Amino acid sequence: MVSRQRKILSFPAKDGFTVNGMLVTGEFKEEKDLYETPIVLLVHGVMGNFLARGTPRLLPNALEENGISSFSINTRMAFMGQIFGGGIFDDSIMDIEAAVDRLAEEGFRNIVILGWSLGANQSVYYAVNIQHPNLKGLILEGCSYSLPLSNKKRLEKWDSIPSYDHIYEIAKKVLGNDPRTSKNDRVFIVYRAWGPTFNPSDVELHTYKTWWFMRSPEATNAKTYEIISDLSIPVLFIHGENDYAVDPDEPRELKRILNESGNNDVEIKFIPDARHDCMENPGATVPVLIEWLSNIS
Amino acid sequence: MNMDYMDQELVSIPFGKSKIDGIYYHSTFKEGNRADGNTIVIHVHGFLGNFLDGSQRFLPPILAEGGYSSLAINTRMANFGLFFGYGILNDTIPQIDRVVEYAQELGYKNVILSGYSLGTSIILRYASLRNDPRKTHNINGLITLAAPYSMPDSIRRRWDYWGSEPSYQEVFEEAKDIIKPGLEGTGQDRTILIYKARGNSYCPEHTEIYTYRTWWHLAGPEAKYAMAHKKIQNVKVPILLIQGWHDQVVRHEEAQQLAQLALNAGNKDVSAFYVNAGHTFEDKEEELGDIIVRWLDRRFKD
Repeated sequence: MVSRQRKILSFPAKDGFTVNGMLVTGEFKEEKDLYETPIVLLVHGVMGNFLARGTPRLLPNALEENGISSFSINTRMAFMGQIFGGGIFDDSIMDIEAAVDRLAEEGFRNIVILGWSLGANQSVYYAVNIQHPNLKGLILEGCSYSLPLSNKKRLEKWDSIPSYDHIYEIAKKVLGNDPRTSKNDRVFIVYRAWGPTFNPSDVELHTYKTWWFMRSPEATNAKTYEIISDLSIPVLFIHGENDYAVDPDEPRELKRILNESGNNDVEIKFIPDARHDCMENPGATVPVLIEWLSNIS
Repeated sequence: MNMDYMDQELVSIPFGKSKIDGIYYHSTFKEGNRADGNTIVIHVHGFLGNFLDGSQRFLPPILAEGGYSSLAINTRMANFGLFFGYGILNDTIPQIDRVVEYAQELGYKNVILSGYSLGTSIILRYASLRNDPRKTHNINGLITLAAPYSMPDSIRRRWDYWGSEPSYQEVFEEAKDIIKPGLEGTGQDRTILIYKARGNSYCPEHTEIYTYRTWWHLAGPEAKYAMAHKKIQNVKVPILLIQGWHDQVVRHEEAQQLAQLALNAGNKDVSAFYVNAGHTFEDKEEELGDIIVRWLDRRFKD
């Protein structure tokens, strides 16, 4: 009998960043059952972490109840990564890479990444760049068509201060010709980024460098629609029917791109009574995931 | 991390309609003449910290080897509580109450509070309020790591030194305008950036972020709950203060001044130790842990 596990693991990405993760596994009759059963690698959303409310917090227990293990990680985009400069979108795939490698080293043979919101875009960027043989599929929850486009639309909607275009102009001046190596960076606040007031709940915080690689017109790798056609593994999109942050047409369009590129193992499931977080309706979400995972091996 | 001496479990402690997250490190060390398992240390994080960082992360395994269990928690001031308006120091008190209850529910007879940097302001405020041994939320000892004599003074001195933008006085004036202290129900607040708060550049690592309200209650000249020197005089339980000689954030004499105030107030069990380290105690983790284990042994080992 393999006993239940619930433990925090820490391990380095290849550039030395420490990734923390929470491993949740249930009881299995034999060790081979533990390693053959799919394990879901969970990647959080904007400024999230593996205990953030919604999917990161709720899904591991729900999966365990259904015999599925999970490994929830904090990437460099977690917590304040985007605010103090360490959260560079492009670099964050090293954290997912380290987590997949760690699971594979442990013996897990069927790994599925579930990226939520920002984590979905990170997961796509990882999977089109690194083809690990144990990675068997992607689940993309609340996946934006393009992080830069989403940001632009939202800032325009609320008439942010500064505006999206103004941020872009300042970022170019601050970061100079080579944003990647620029030593110059600065934290900035966007007021009215999430709503019509100047209250803290409606602000957004970045550094110019983190914004550049995640949200600017130059953030090529965060424009998921431009890179997703290289994805050849099975994909499941799950999307809240009432998602206010990402329009339901966005995963539909991403599915169309995948199908046109020859990947026909792509499904979309819309979750009723859920907004950006599908675990607002676990009764509908969990069976969808379990059924899809049952075909992974 | 040495896992031979402990079990580790992620816990979510029910707290009203929400939860307090923490990691419970249960010491399983039984060999020799070690502690008897009746004592637990609750660790409270520093500025923007959480239970995955710093002393909250490195101390529990060392203490477990000494026979002491730990509970490292995230309060509402963890992570970015200061940025979005809910990280108010005094609002952590009910959270600590609940965590102390939880430790007692686990069966621990001796509950020790340990705080790092900002966390020392939280635990000193707490211990100054809960200093009646006849009450439920009784604690048995206090450990402060890099405790500022007064958080407002410390922040003001640092901002003045680096020539922060805006200045301390400017933020004070703006805060009065925005939050209108005394009229807390107005609900007005705003997130602010302080450039050159921690160094001589506009770089992110030298920047601080608050809302006017969180600043007012932690760093403003009227943030009385964050003034350790006013709180420590009401603490009746044994106190251990540990301070780095080379701390760039808290001056080394602040520990001695706090110890003296506690002694003058009649507390007969006050100790201060200095470690050849900076604010984070980097590279001196074992030494720090040894000091704490010895201090605990003398007082709580049956």
